[in-house]
Amino acid sequence: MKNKLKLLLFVPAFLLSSCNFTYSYVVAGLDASSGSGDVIDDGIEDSGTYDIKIWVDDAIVDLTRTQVQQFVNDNGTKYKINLTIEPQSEGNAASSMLQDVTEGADIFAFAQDQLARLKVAGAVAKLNSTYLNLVSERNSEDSVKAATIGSSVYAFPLTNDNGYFLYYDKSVISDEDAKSVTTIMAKCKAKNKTFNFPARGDGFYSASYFLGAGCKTSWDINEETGAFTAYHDNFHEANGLKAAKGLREVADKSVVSTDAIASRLGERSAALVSGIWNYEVAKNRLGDNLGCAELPSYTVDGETIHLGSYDGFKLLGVKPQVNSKKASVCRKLALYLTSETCQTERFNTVSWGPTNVKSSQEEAVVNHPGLAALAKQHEYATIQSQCPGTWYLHLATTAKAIETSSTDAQLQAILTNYKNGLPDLLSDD
Amino acid sequence: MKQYSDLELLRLSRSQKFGYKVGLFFKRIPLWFKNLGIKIWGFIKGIGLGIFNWFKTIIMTFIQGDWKTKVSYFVMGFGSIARGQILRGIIFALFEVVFILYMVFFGGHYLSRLYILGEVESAVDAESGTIVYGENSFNILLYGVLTLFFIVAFIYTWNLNIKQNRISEQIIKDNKKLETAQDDLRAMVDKEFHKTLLAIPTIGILIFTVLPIFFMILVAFTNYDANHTPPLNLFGWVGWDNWAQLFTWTNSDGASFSMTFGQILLWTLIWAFFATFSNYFIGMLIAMLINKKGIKLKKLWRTVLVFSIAIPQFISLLFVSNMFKTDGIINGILGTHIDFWGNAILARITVIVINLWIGVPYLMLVVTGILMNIPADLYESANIDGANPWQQYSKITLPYMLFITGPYLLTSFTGNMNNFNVIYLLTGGGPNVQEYYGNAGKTDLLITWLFSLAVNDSNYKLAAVIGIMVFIVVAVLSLVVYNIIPSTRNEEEFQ
Repeated sequence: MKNKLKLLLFVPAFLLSSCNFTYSYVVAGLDASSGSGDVIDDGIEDSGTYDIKIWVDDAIVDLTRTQVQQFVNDNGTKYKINLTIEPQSEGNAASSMLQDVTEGADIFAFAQDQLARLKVAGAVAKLNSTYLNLVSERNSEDSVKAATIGSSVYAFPLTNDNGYFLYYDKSVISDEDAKSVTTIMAKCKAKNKTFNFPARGDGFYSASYFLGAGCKTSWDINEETGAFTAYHDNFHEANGLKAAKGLREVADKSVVSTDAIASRLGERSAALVSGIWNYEVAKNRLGDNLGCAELPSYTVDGETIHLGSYDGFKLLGVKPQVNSKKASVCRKLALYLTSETCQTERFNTVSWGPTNVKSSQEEAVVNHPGLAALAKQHEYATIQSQCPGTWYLHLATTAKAIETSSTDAQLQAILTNYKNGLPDLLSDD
Repeated sequence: MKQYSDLELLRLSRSQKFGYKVGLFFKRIPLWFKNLGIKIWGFIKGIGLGIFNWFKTIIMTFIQGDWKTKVSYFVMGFGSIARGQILRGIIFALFEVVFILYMVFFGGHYLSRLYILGEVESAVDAESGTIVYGENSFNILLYGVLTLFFIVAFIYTWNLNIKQNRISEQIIKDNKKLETAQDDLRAMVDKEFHKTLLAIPTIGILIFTVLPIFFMILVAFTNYDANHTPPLNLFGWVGWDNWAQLFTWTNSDGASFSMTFGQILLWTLIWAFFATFSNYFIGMLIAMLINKKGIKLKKLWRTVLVFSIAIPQFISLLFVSNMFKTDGIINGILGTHIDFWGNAILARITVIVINLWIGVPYLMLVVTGILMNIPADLYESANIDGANPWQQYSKITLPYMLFITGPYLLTSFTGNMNNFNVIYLLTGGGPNVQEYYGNAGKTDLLITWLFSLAVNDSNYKLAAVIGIMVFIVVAVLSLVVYNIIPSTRNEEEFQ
């Protein structure tokens, strides 16, 4: 009723986008198989039957179902889980949770930049010391930092690959060409192909120019309320001007497309800046011609600047439960789903980069071309921290405005507008 | 100022006439305000008198009524049952019981919290990962309003119950027979059949339309946004704060909400104007072309055009949106890299043009029927009088069309103001610009901006303010235009 009314009130057209497909499936533990060592005992007696709803990306719905079954088996059929798995992109998890937290999933995957929103809405709770120790022990330091607000950790690290790197077609662009934006664009232009780089359309990518030039942005969060209280941002200063000048180069619409679509590689497109989620498609399109590398450099006033990027992570959140036994089961399940076993399985199935220390040291992971490129870019990358979701839109608008300006004074005016817009992004109260 | 008679007025020069009219206009302003004042006072007086009379009747009925009537003031339906109208009595009594139960077990609580929208916050226990939900401002507001509705319904029914007693007493005094349950039931499908038919739609509209509208209006006076999202967080009343934002013209150095609202409203009106009239005239032109004698394959042309209606807009518009990208098909054919969606003016023109492709077929279908209804003798006599095609169009076809389709034009204008699909699916409101607040874009209509504020930013309070403003703009426009257009007058007057 409440949800329906909300729709009536504000978002009639939301109906279009809310056509989710629901998979319902009952996992009944029948036979106990050997444990994998990922089962933990926190001393809470919680055997029983639970209705658990999980949101994960479409690509791992089936895998997750198997893993939940495995969890049940490992625990010696102590649990009976009535499982509902719904495909939900990690980018939209927060928006969907915020519609109505009580109706949202119990366990859900999300991109780390949504952590603050989820915390404000009460969709995630702090991890207690037992879990905090296990999570910190098993996962890379950066990934745990990604799940941290203030001094507390709020979610389980899931993947370390929510950053971006360069895909290119070796038949058009040589490994050496791939080191510079200018040559990539020249080679693409010569072959009448596009360089797909969303730097002007998406703040997450626009940031690469600014971060590369040495700009910094960080936002203070009130740990109690999750509200953004202050910002420290120097995108409008001298380094920002360099970045803005660099961005003007990719405003050439005859070569650069802002669509990050991997399926165009090899056909209309010869290079793409995107993340590991496009690896399989890119591989299928280009085969042996697929090149993966760290991001290229851009040149401003004779100075060569390597593009920066965000090192982003995907996290697994557990919604605070009314029932403490269910809360315990959900946390155990989330811990299991982010364990070494599950992360390795996920890498093997969909090439998602593990945050688990052991899992990420496996040979296959280290040698994976996409993940290797991401690892090389890591040197120039900034750990993505919490900022208001609208900041990315604000930055994209700024990058968009840059394309029509020609003089330094105009660029500076745009950057000043950017700075002046920042206070509006802070939380009201 | 001297009042001229009609004859005197005709003798004045053009400039004198103008000066006279301007003078007259200013002279009439105080009078206009005086009349307005009188009307408002009359309205308030009317309401006051109505309430006074109602109380008087209620009190007089109590004083003059018999004991059965007196008891009915507290036990609804008692009088009816005591006088043998069992069915009516039971319904009244049942309603009172339901009302009391509702208030005690459900509504009373929400109503009592409505003034503050909840104080008890939810508590998350990090150690066990559990939550104890506190009060839910959303539910308090929603059910609080529902309870208010219920109270109004109760007062209405209670009044009805008193009225029944008064009437029954009078009937008995006049030695006439009271209506029995059988009579009542028969009346429901006979004399009172309209009420039977309308009961369900009315209740439906109250719950699914009027209640949400009330709710939305009230949200505009709260701080319901991303940081005040139930069930974890509470939101509360903030009075006119959100409205102050709408009427504050400066907001530090950044983009202001009020300026953005003004710009988007202006574009919404421009868009609605062009979207409506471009479709109207081009649709009419195509219909006339196809209707012309000598045009072959009429049915084929119509069918081809109607194809664009057959494909769901959701699919076709998303596809067209991709076609117009810098590396899309259109640029491929033209051999260019025009940024249709990136340039504000170009994007605005493009959406209007694409909208033609969607809207023209509808117009063509509507107009075809009307064209066939214009009496052919009008054209024949025009031909004999030597009128050229343009004269025939402007003196016969167009006036006739405008007369018939006046209300259609009005609804399509208001419909275009809220044309969410076309804008959202084609441009998503973009291109976004730095001058606009809240990541609004140059092709955003108020309705798409409202959507992104509510869905992307969870800024329900400002979305509600915009929603109310949209309603006001549309309502005022519709009322004014509806009263101007000739279609609402007598058809006989149409010459």
